[in-house]
Amino acid sequence: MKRSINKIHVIKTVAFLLIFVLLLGSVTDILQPKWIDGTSVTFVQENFYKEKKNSIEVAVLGSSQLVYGISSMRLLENYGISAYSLATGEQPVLCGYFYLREMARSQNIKTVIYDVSMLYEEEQESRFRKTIDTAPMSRNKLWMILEHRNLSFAESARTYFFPIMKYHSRWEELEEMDYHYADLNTEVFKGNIMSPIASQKINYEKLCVDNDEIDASITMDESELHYFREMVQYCKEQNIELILIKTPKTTWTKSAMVGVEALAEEYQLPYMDFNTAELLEASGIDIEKDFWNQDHLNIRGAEKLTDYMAEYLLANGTYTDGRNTEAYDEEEVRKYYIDRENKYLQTSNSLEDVMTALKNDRYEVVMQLTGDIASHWNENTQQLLEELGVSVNMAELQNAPFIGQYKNGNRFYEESQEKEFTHEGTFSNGTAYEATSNPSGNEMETGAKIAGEEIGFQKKGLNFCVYDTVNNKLVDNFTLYYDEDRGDFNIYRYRES
Amino acid sequence: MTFIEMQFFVFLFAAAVIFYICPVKHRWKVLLGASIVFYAIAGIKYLPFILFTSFTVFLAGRKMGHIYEEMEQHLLEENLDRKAKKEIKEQAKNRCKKAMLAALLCNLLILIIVKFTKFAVNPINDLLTALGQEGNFSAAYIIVPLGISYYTFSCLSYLLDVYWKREEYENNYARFLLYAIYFPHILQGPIERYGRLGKRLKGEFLFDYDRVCAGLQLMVWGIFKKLVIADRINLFTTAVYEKGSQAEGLIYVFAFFLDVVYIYADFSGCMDIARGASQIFGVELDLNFNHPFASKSVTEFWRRWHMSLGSWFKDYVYYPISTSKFVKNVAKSCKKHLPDAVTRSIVTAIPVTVTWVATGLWHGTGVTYLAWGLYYAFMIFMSVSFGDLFHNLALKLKINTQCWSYKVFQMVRTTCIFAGGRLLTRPGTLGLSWHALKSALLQFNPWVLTDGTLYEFGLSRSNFNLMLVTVVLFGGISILQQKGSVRDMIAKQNLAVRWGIYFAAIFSILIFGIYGSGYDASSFVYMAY
Repeated sequence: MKRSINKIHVIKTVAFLLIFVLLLGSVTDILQPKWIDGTSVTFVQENFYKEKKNSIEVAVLGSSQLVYGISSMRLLENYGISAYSLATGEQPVLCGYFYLREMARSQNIKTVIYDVSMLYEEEQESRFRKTIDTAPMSRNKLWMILEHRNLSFAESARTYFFPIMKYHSRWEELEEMDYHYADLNTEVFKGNIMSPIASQKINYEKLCVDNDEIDASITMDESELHYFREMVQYCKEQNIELILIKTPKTTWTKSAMVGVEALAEEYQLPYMDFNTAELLEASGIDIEKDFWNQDHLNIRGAEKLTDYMAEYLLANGTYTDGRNTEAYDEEEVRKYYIDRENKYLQTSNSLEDVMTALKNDRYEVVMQLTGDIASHWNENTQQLLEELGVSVNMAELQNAPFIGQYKNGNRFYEESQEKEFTHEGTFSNGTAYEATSNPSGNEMETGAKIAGEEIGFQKKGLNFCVYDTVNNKLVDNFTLYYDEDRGDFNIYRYRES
Repeated sequence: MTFIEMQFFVFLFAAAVIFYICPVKHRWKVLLGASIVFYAIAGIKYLPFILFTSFTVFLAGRKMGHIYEEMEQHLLEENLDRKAKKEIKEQAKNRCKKAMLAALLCNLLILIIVKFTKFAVNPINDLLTALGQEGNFSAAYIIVPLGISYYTFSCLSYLLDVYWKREEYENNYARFLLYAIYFPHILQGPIERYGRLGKRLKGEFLFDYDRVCAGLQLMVWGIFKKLVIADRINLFTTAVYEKGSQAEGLIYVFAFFLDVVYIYADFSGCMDIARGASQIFGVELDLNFNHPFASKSVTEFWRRWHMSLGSWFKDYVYYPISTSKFVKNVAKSCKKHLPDAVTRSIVTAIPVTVTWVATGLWHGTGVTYLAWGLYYAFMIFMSVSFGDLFHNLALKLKINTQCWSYKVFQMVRTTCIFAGGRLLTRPGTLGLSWHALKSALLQFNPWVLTDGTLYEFGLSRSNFNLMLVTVVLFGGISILQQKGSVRDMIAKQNLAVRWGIYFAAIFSILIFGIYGSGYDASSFVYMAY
């Protein structure tokens, strides 16, 4: 009897393969690294595809310097310029080039702002993985994978098409985030993330390259340069203006700047290097307040750089006002402002800036005294605290244990006792907290609890917990302490390494 | 291209599609073409070797076949007396012997040169130097064709079967080449006899959906054994046995027994992939394992482990030697001077020793494999010569040899003997083997089971625990297999359960398999032979 395939067999086979493909997709999604720490590549890419077609006119590309260094939302809100950043951490130029092509497929790109850091970086497989792995499949992703195969260190293209082949061994590292990471997208706006950290230790001499020696041995990576040239060519063909910039970073050099200048001249491209005294001054970037770390700006610095770029863009181009289009998303804008306010608070490193940021009805503050502030207390600091609602004179307290609860000039609770004490209270939205004041205790004992979660300070002084009672989350916690080196009060934030 | 590479699955899919598209009567040619392509992908330089072997054996077989046909014709003639008939038969036999020996010796020589030349590198270089030449001969010059041990033995079995008139000769070289080069069994066997595989390769090759599915299921099980179980264990045992390892005492004990599971999972996994792939085309390959760890003696073990190799050496080495004139003469002269029992022992020892030394050297060419061969020669000799004595002793001591606990004891004993054999070859040198054995016997360190030391040898805690779980699963399925086909048991379940099991197996491989970057490429153990 001649056996042959029948309809049931075909249906079963197709059904089996379909289920297999679905399961493979789900399992791959769980096993793949999420790349949502740091520059949140996953969310940056995902959000781009949610933008309405032809609503973006400015593309921001490059490495993490531009993820944190420019605010596309500020460009939109303050200047009406619709921009989106597909900059990602350590983004190879090859990826930047194909990202540009991908953006141009669905958007009306007129201008590209490109950070030139990666021109001098040797390519590495890990950078391609970070950039390509979580990108949704598209023609340009396919090109990225195929072009990258030409590199000597490139892993098999198969592992890009089937990431499970690369990442299956992550099964023993899986955490809750691997299953529910989509809920964690709270701070990516138009592809940018604003940094909530203010470093106080940027070395101006290292940052400004004006007085650097030229080192002829510093050269661009050949492969990166090749794809840069492709990008230039593509922009020419598509009539897109390409603007080169270098955000301020202490590891940039004059030699690198000179190299990019030559390239800019070769292709007649505008180039703005913010590692020069001229542009640092012109942009108003403050080395004590505006940096997250040696190489990245925080929200304050990013907004200054954004303002500078916006003026340049408006002076040299015409853009549709994105605030008056259908693509304008009010909900997104609302969340952006909340995030901005929070981050301005988080990057406040003086009591003045803190008090300015605390003028916000969302924030309730619990204060607990855990160290000596009375010996250096002054009228100015007292006045600032009184703006918040504090009625007690800190100098007169003489470091007696103290706990207070305030909101934008209103006082909910205030108490001082002779000995160490703990107060259990609630915020106005019912969230419970517990604060202990023990000025004679050690630094490790300085802490509070909000909704059962421990908050550490690791510093003695006047500890603040700032809680957002509208969105139910702790926004900031820091210590006001007297800094002997500075001869003034300073803000300390404990961050787990 | 090994059975666990992506290229193999693409190749298999393409071959199957072309196979079933092709008209039935030409499908064997598709198999031949696919097998040649498979072999060429491994290395085009290897092709001349297998073509030479298959062609010389084919020619010799055909010549012998013609000689025997001629002989049969002559014997039908009238007026031939018994003496004349005997003479005709002897002449035919002698002519066949020449053809057989020519093909046998030249192909054995190729096999020996390819496998043993690396040991002659230094002597050759010394000789070259003595002759005033540059002594830079290297084993790198020697080409080792893919599967040479397997296809050579397969072809020689055909040659000898035709010579001994156990098989008809094949008149079509393409058909014979297909038998020699058939891709599912070229890498690691089984070493098929022409009488069985040759016939199956002339089968109908009709499409059967259930059979194809069963073949795929068998492949999945084989890949699971290889990538999830064997290669995971290998990470542990490699770390234990590597130079400078801090392993001691119970760690070595763990390694001994896990290594047994490793070799079984690796080899039987490959066999399952080969048999499953072959089943897709409707060609059954012989079983190579029959629950070897259920064996109660070492002789039984080698009837259940790598069955095709065991039966090859039994049929073509052991029996011919034990029935040879030489052994008969030895027996005769021993009987005159020695007691019967001693004579029997000597007569047993000769073929056993030759067979097992040859088996050892088939597996590898170092001192360790020679030691392995002698080890099993001794064990088999003891089992054959004194097995009954031990059994009678047990009965005299009123030991119940029929209860399940005694049977378990026998199985554990057999497994320990096998582990002992592995210990001779796995660590790499006899010195390391001795060190490992001494440490295992003399150092008692039970704290390593609980203080985390176990996780310092190639496997994290999660991976180590997963290894134990999969070993237990493997054991459970092996026990279930003794009751019947597990695939059939699953096939009787409802769709949701069946598919749940299939998806669980496939995704276990995809998630827990030892493959990809971060793991060293791990080929099958028996491919090296």
